[in-house]
Amino acid sequence: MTLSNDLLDRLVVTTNKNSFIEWLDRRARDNSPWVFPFGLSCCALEHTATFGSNNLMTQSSFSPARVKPEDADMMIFGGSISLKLLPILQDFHKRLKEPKWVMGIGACAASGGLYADGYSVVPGLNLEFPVDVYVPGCPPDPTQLNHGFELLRDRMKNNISRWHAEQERTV
Amino acid sequence: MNILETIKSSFPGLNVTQMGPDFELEVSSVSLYDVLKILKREQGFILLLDIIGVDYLKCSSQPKEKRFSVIYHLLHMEAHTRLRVKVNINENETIASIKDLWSAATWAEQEVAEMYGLEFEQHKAKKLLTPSHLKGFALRKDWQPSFSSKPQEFSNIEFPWLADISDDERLCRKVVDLNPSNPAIQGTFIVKAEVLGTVVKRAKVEIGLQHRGVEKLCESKLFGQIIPLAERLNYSSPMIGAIAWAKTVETALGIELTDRAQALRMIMMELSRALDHATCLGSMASDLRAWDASAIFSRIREHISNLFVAYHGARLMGPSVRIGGMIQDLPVGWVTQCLETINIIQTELSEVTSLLTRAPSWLVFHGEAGLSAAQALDWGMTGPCLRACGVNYDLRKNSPYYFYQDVEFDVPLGINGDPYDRYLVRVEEMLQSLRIISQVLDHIPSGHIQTDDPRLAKPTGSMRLTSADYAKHFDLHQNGTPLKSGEYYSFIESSNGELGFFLISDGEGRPYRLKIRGPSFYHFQSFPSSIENISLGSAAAVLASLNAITGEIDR
Repeated sequence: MTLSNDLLDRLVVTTNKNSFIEWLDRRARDNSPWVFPFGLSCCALEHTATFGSNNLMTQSSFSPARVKPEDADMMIFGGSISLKLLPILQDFHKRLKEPKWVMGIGACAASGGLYADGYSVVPGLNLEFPVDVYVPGCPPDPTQLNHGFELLRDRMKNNISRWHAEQERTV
Repeated sequence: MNILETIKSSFPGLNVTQMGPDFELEVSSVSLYDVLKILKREQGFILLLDIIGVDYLKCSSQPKEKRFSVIYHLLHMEAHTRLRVKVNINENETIASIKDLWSAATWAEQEVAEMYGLEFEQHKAKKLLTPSHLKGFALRKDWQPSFSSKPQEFSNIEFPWLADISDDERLCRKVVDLNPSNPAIQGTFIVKAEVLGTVVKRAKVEIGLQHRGVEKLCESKLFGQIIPLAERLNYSSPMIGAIAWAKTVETALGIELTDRAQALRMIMMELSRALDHATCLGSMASDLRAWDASAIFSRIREHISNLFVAYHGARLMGPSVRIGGMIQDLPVGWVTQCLETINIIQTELSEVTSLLTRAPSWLVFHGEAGLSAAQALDWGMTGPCLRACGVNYDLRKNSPYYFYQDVEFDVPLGINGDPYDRYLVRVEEMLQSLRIISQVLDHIPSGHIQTDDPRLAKPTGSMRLTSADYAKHFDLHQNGTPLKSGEYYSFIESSNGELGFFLISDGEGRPYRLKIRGPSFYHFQSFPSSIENISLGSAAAVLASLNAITGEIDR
């Protein structure tokens, strides 16, 4: 039996290399996004509790506990951004894989929280980075974190990120 | 002969006053070093609790000739008394450094120098907590936030080459960076270690990454508004911080709590202590790859968190502590739930000790990087880390507050002061905490949970409020409860050691100056020198067992 051209067209999709890799990358990311957790104080405790408990993120074939920023699809940041910490945080954000999804957990990351009036705190993560999802709470509990996480995965599936939007705006 | 008389007789020219349970001694900056030396060597004030800077610029109640004061807070560990040695100075004077009397003074002096712009001898002007581009001295009363145009740089710690390191060794040594990207578990600081093979030769730390200016913030807040800030100091045992602060204001105001409120506070504090120790040990176990033990510790955390949820609805930070008592009574069925949980935790603890205590991988840390009692006191350690060195000092026993003298519990002690002993002490303290809770639950007093002191309480009782009531209500919300001007210190045995609040009042409802003595600040100071010449793995164990909480270190 000879393979007709018609059949070949139906079985094989031709595409170029880059878009194929992008497609593969996205599929891989959808199923198990790698997280770079950067929790600092109270939020970190709830964050570890979320990762440690059995009902949550860990079940959906999730990322290893310690990931380098270069390998991570998204960063979870919780805690106050002090001015001394800021250069370190900027460095990590630079090293994140594009399109740099960021989830801010807790009141301090969202607005400075209790410490917003302080002299050494940046009142809000969004003053420095594009943030995709905020999880409110001081500190937010694991169910809230999980919900925020689902929202972020939705954005990942549709490939929407705040970082993209800001890039486009500047171009 | 009591302490006051001995001090008076050995320093006849100096002015000693008694302030509540504590003493105060005024000295000149010239004689400071010698006075402190005599106090330490001969009088038995062997522990330096804290060094506090005060700026009296805007203090109306105590007019001073000199603008600043530096207060050295000492503890007599046999008579259980505290002594404050006070030096009044002006801006351009220098004070003698007491680094060689107490190693603990290093960071404390650096902090005072940084915050007030005072000069200590033999100190380099290096910033400890605040960012490098912050101009001026943050805790001065006339300071306005201002920044230099050059932004904060990525802090880089470097090790200078020393002459006694040979050329061959130079090539083999490399620097390991343990930065805060190691997630979540340990806290936020940069540790750089220079290693030869796997042995740490030198180490340096950089703190201040979570410096949020809590002490400055507190100066603009009412006493009641400081509770959430105090709660977030040591975030792994939130209730203890809040209760310690409430206790400070209550003792300063002279308010007697109701029996039930005291009992509730004891329960909550002991639960928090167990929570904190479980967090510490859990992270220690997971750092050392003992995953099953770490999972059990996180289960214990869950159990205690569930109790907190049942009590006040929040897993960690709760809304229940108020000045003058508690806001929430125990809900129906809570006591049963608590007793059941105690049972479960006890079983889980025996499970975890059977896993860890005799495990060869855990016994590796036995005798590694131990601290002697003298060293620990030199570093200003308190709490479990001090008790692991064999010093029997627990504020719940030695200067009891609430009903701690009426309950039975033991104070576990270690011998070597190494990570292994700290682990044993923490586990045993958890069991003792559970023992205290069950005793309190057995005899829980009935009655109100809030004091009805008119200085704190809103007018209640009658159905119709008069305009005077409204005026008082408004005043209470606007200006808070005025506190007689003076200096107050109150402490609590927190899960890490002595958590103290030093409060200077100017007769208002806000503190004029509030200094927080976080135990972790002093523990963590000892870390770089205590990991010298041990392996990197043990260094991780030392760090985890110190339970350095960034909220307390950086404030």
